Amino acid sequence: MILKMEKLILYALSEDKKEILDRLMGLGCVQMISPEQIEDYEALNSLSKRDDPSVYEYETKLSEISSALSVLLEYEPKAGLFTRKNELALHELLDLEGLGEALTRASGIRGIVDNIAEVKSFQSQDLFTRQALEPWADLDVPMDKLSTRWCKVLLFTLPRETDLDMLKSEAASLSCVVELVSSDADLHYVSALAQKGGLDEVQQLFKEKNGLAVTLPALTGTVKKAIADIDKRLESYQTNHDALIESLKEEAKDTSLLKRAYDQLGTAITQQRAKQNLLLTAEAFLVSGWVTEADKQKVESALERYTCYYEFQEPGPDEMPPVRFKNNSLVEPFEAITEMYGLPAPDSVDPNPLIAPFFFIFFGMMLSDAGYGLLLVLAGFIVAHLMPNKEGLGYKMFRLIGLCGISTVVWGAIYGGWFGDVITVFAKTFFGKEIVVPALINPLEEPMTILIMSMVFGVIHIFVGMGVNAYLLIKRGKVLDALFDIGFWYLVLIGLGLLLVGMVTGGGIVSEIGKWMAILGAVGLLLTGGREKPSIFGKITGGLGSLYNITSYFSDILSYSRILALGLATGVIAMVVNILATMTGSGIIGFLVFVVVFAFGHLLNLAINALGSYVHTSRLQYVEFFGKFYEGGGKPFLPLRPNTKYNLVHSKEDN
Amino acid sequence: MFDFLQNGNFWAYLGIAVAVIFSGMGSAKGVGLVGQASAGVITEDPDKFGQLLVLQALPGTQGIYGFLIGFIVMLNSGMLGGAVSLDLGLGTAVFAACLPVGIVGLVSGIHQGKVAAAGVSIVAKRPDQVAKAIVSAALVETYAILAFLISMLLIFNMPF
Repeated sequence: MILKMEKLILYALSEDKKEILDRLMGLGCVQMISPEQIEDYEALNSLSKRDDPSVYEYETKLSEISSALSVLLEYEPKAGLFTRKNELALHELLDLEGLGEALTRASGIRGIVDNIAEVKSFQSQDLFTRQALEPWADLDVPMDKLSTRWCKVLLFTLPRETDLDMLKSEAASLSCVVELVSSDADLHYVSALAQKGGLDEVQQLFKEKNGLAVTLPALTGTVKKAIADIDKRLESYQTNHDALIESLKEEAKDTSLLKRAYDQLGTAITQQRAKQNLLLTAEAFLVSGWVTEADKQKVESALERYTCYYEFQEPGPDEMPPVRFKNNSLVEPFEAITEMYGLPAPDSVDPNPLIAPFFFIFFGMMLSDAGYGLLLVLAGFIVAHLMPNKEGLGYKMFRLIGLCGISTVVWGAIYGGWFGDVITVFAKTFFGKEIVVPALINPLEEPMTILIMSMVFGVIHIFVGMGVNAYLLIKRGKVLDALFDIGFWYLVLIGLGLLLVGMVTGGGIVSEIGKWMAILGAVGLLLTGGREKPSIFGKITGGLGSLYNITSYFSDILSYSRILALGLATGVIAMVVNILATMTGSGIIGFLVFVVVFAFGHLLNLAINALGSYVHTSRLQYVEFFGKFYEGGGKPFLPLRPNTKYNLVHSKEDN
Repeated sequence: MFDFLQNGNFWAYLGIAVAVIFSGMGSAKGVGLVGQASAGVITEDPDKFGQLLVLQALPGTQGIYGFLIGFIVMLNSGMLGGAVSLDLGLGTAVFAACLPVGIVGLVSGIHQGKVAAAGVSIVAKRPDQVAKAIVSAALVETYAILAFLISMLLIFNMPF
């Protein structure tokens, strides 16, 4: 059901402000309301001012801590689904004293990160120089002696296909000595010793041969020496870099201080934001918030010790209180389905108890293999049991998987599917025996039975949805609308159903009753469908239009045929897997092949069809069922509570 | 030279081919579309791989339905056991029964892929809303399911 909300209006003294807010946060059951929504806001506003808390300082600190944490988390083993979070008491979380130390550590970590970046940039610079020098390693002239008083050594790269002997002899005629220094796949690297007087001619010669002049970096000594120097430097950079990484790893060994600071700041920011909803005078403040009826007691006892005045108000007719569900442990997992669709309006109904049985049945019929069901039961309930956080969507989802697994086992047993027909096939291949697994309905032999069953379930599902709509209409005093829009449709649909049954069983009184029910309903629809239209013409077309909706009811009901289709798909794929697994026959190798193909094939089939069953069962809820009555637009209940990511807050209250 | 058209086996084999080829093509195209769209999101946020994989798997079912139809024909007609000889009437009937799953599978696979690929941007911006992307892609699949069901029921009731 949807929990009833009441509005808390609290007037208290300013001196208690911090303490009261801390206590409300500890309770975690009050959702702050912005003061504009309080009655007489205009009058109140002229007497008081809005609190204007700053979050800037906290946010700057938070970004510093979180960037340090994001660096460290790379070196920390990743937290799994089952890792227990560290627990903190509320007062430890609200007390910001340890923050200074955490910020010092964060800036230390930032320093290390900056150093690493610096070392990396030096490294890449040197690597670049080394690359440029490498082809010239055999040049025996020191780099600072390339130019003397009369001569100059010019360096060129030439395309690989250049005829070097010809070049040498042509250069010799310009009294220039050309030497090959090295070559790689594309280029020759050559030096040319020329007299300063004839430089132009030599350059001209190389240009004709597609040579490119090379300038070495401004270094001293031979190239070999320079490369050796660079290598030495690179090595020291590397040790430096390794040491820095090592110190980061050292820091990552204990991140609890930073994690705590992160949660402290997050909570502080949440609290500051909550303060924006306060109205202040010099001596007192006013705050209001939504509280569930059940939690009123808690709030009252928490406020007992303070000098304050408070009252609880019922929500007004135009107000939209937030929505929170409360269901028993069997229905609760199905809340995940509704939450994914969007919450219902607060004055509508909680669809979860209605979804639960249908989702349970439909999922089981679609997956319909007892073996797969057992796997889901085990996986779902074990994971849910091991999860430390029993409140999130994840916990609900795994419990949902477990529950749906139970239904899958039941339907699998009815259809006679245990990992498909593996028992029969295995016994036949390896022991030569015929074993028949009992089945109540074999979907391959009696698909029509299951098709009819699916549609009957579908009709019931749709009727329940229409019933909820009628209930909502009647609750709001629109009894006639409930009769015209839903009652008549019940008549038509049940009448047509009886007519069909009568036709199949050979006519008689049943089809006669059905016929007249359908006609009565149809006439009713025709007469009342356009009742809100002003003109006669509008009333007539409205009535016809309403009757035309029969097509949408048919397509809704036919849509449930997917239950049969998905059930067949699971069963037949499982059968195919078993055929493939036993193809190699009996014997040791046959058995090994069987094990591998069986495990892989059935896992794949389970994955695909569990996904398909989930998606299509959800669709039947969202489109066919919710389409009949659902009123969306509810806002989730978000009470003021500690905003933590890495720590859990003690559930028990501390004083 | 068109003697083979009088051969029932040929039509049955052709039916299997149509069922498997076209629905497989539809799924391949659809899954490919979603894969391309998700690659961009994964480079930004590798943690979303799980959610995106679900979206990507959705248009893959058409190919499976086609494969199943093909397989059931093989199984029921005894092709798995060796030589069969179907008469012309039965062979052409098998061929006709295979058409729905093949043709609808091709079209719905591609379009489901497009819807799921558009859903990738929902996962990128609001990963908590992935269920809505999944459901709207599943709406397209309805027609593949209906076609599969018809092909299946037709083949179940054939007098092999």
